[in-house]
Amino acid sequence: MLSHPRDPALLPRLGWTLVLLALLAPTFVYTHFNPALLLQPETLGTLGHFVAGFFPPAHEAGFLLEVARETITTLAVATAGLGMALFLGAPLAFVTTRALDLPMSAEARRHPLARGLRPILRGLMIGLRGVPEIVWALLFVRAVGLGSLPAVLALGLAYGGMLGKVYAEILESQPDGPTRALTAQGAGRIQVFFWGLWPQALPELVSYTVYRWECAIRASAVMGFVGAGGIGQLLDTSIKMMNGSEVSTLLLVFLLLVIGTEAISALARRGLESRYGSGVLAAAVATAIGASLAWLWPAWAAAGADLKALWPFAASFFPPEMGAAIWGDLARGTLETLAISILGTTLAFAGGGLLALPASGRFGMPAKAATRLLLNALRGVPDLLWAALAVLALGLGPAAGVLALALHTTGVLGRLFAETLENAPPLPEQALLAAGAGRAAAFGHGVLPEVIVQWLAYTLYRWENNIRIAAVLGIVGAGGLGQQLYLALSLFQEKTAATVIVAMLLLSWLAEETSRHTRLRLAH
Amino acid sequence: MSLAFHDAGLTLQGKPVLSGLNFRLDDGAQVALIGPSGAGKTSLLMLANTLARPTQGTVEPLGQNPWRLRPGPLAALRARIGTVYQTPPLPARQRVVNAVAAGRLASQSVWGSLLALLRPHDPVGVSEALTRVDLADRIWDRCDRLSGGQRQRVGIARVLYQAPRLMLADEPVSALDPRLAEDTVRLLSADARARGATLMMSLHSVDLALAYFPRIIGLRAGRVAFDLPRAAVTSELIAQLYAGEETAPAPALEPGPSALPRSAQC
Amino acid sequence: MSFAKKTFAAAVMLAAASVALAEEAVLRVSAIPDEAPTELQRKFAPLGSYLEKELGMKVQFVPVTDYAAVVTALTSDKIDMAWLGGFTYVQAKERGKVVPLVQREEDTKFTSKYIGSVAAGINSLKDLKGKSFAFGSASSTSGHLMPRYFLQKQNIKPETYFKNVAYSGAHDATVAWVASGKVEGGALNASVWDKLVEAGKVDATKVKVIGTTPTFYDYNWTVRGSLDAKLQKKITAAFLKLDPKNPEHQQILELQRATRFVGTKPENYKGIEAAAREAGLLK
Repeated sequence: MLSHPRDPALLPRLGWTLVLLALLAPTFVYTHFNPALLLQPETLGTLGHFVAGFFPPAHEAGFLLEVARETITTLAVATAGLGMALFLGAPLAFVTTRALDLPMSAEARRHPLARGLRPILRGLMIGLRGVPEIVWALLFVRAVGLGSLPAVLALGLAYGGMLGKVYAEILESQPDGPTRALTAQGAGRIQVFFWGLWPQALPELVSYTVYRWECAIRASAVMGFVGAGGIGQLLDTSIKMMNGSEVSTLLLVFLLLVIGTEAISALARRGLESRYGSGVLAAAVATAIGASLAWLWPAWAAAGADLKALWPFAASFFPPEMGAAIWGDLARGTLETLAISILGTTLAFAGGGLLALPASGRFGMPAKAATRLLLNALRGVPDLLWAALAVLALGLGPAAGVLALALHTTGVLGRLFAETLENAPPLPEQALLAAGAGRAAAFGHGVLPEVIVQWLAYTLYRWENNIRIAAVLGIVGAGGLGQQLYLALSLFQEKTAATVIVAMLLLSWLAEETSRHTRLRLAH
Repeated sequence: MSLAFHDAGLTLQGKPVLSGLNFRLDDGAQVALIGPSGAGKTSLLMLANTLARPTQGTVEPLGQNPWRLRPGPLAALRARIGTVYQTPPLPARQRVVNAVAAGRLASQSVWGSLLALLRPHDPVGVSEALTRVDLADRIWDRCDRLSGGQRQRVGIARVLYQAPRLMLADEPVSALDPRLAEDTVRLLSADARARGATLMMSLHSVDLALAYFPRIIGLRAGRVAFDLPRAAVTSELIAQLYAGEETAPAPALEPGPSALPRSAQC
Repeated sequence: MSFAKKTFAAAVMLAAASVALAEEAVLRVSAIPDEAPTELQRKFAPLGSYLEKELGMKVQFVPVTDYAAVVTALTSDKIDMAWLGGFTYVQAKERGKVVPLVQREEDTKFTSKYIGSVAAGINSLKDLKGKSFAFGSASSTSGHLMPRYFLQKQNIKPETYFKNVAYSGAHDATVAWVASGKVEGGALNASVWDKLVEAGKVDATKVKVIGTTPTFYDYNWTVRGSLDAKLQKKITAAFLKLDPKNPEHQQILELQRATRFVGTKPENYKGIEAAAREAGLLK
């Protein structure tokens, strides 16, 4: 008899599987997530009743007028917010990017003040984008009052930090020949930027900005959940009052808005390539920002928002609450947030993987088109909106958060996974098929090994994102740290709120580090 | 003195790229730099144009040590050094007129140069420079609409427009066909001679080097193998210089999984 | 710093705008959003025009969707008068100078109802152990503070006693949630409950009352402390003048769910304040 030497990879694999299971099992307990609940007759009854109320969509003139007004506000908030983000992010990127750090003599080194400034600005940007925009909105609602101004400020700050970082990265990723050549000729930093980097980086900068604008519109549409205006506010009320027909009208409008902005952004990207495209685009952006401010201004003036109140408000957060009483709540919220994000992302990995098969065209064109549509719909509805809807299905609490994350992330991952499948070399699979392997076997041995590392990497990246979202889902009643933040702010316990925010930032930082290390391991 | 290397060397990531370089170029000198690929020709030129800092010894272009200068004088020094790069350093989408005008950026104020992005500065001068490389008709075109050879010539036009005291050229004709290559070498050489500027050019083609340059520096494995007048360069020397051309293949990097596309981040 | 500049520019423009506002005499009024915004507007409309007539000035209703924001707006003088709950009044008093003027007679002996889901077989608070429970807004007196306070008196700490504690945001939402089975139990303002029952908006086969709290002082109309004293008197007088026998007044009172208005004073809310401190909602 032949004695088989043991597979050296067996034990580690078994170990990792056990670790994963050990991580996953408690998440079900912590989040009370029970998929069977979705199929219970009561749940189905509630949902069915609610969805039946969708038809016909509400269409009274008064309501439609209000929807139209709030839709314009949503657009204006997104545009004005992005305008503010541009003012904030562009200079930050210019100062912090390494793309303009070219050889300098010892004496010509930058002033120590300027050198010290840079890490400070980088830290500032991390802080700005580390706090989710909805949390910024919640804070500004308290600081400067309700309405669209807090939403604009929130978008401006959060996206300012994001634009600053990504612009800097885009500049750094450009070929450095032109900038080095100009430096060698004695051009200054500003000259090198405009003559060497700007022309080649422009399309990518514009394309990213336009993409951010799409994001801003989705974000601005849910700002209403914290009282910051726009159609989100109408949605919040309608969902809370379980008014199905209003919800369906609003969802339709929201969908149209998303499709419309995608069309506009595609147009903008194309326009850039035409001869006078840049000029037209610049003029259009300036007009859009001006029009947005003009639309929003009367409400701001009437609300008498005063930005001076910001400083005492900000001061009231210090020092963060460190008393013993808070730690229990905080630990519970943190664990819940962690569990929501892990379970939601895992379910999305499974869902995305399954949907990616038809979405990559493996089951014919009709299936591909249908799955793509489904994935786009899942992705198009923001997580916070999914959460508000999931609360209807699963009741309040973390289970709704899990469902919301799983749905939205399935849309995101499904599309990415499908693209990976389409880009995978076809030969290994074909060879297996030619050798007589079945379709499943050929996929498992010919394609999966090719894509799985990339799939896991995408999932980990997305998890970093999801942990931030899980931390805010509580704002619409879906558990986690968000609920504690909302409560603390409602009760004017700013110092407690500060501690919760710090906990959110720490958690998201930990997630990023864990994800980075795991990805590095995966790559080897 | 136009360019002097004193025991200069360059070590990158612990590996010596250049070492023990000692030579000087007088005003108006014209020198060709030859040697097998990987010998360090490009690095040597980058030491000369102040983009790289020597890790040993000193390099003094136009009689000054750039690494001891304050920002103002450094920019002024750099304005007098012009470089033709092997890959022309032209941003995609920039128009030819600006790509060439960029040669004199250092002499403009920041605001003037920003304004020039909208309304090009000195199109007449630019067009003269372009005429010399036979591209005057493409002045208003975008650089990314030009062929590789045309972009190479735009890069040359920029240096002609800059009219530097020290002209460095890193295989400036690698993308040009043989006839055009010869014309271009002749053009650069004549331009330098007419202005009394110093020219140092690395060339892949030994024939071109011997035909147009009175002095030849042979570089091998980061060291000067010979530095002789044209007449003294024998075919044995050339054969030794290129003997057993070493190829050190860079280790192929296994690409890790790619990051989340930016369009999947919100 | 572009932000500093923008802040400055905005501040200048806002200052200009507030000067413009101050020129025409407007009484800016708001209310805590304990019911749907549309409902609040409907309730306020006739009262608003009555006050305009009585005070001889424009009365403007500023809709606000967040309890805490009403408190902030009042204490930072962005609105002149607000309809506050007992707890929000205490919060406002803690943060600035405010004067409570009047309240409904009913507010002097207010109660909250505990409700439960019929389908889940909830008949008492005991049945709710380990189930999910909804308060209204976290800042609500009758939807959160007092129900919580009286639960604690019975040694029930909501966070550990229930499986989940959630905040629906408004009283009518709490009923909708229990009726739909989103949560198994909840607490709300007795007056809103009665209104919903009268209007036939409560399905008795789905939701039932399982308990009522002892009485406490609740809602009042409060003005900012810096409001002209004469105007304060006029407002009080206008409210007290509302007479149920006058048909026009009758309509206003009915919408406010008041038999009549009576004067109120800060001392009435000492009990609420103590309860809030005991429940840990006020520090």
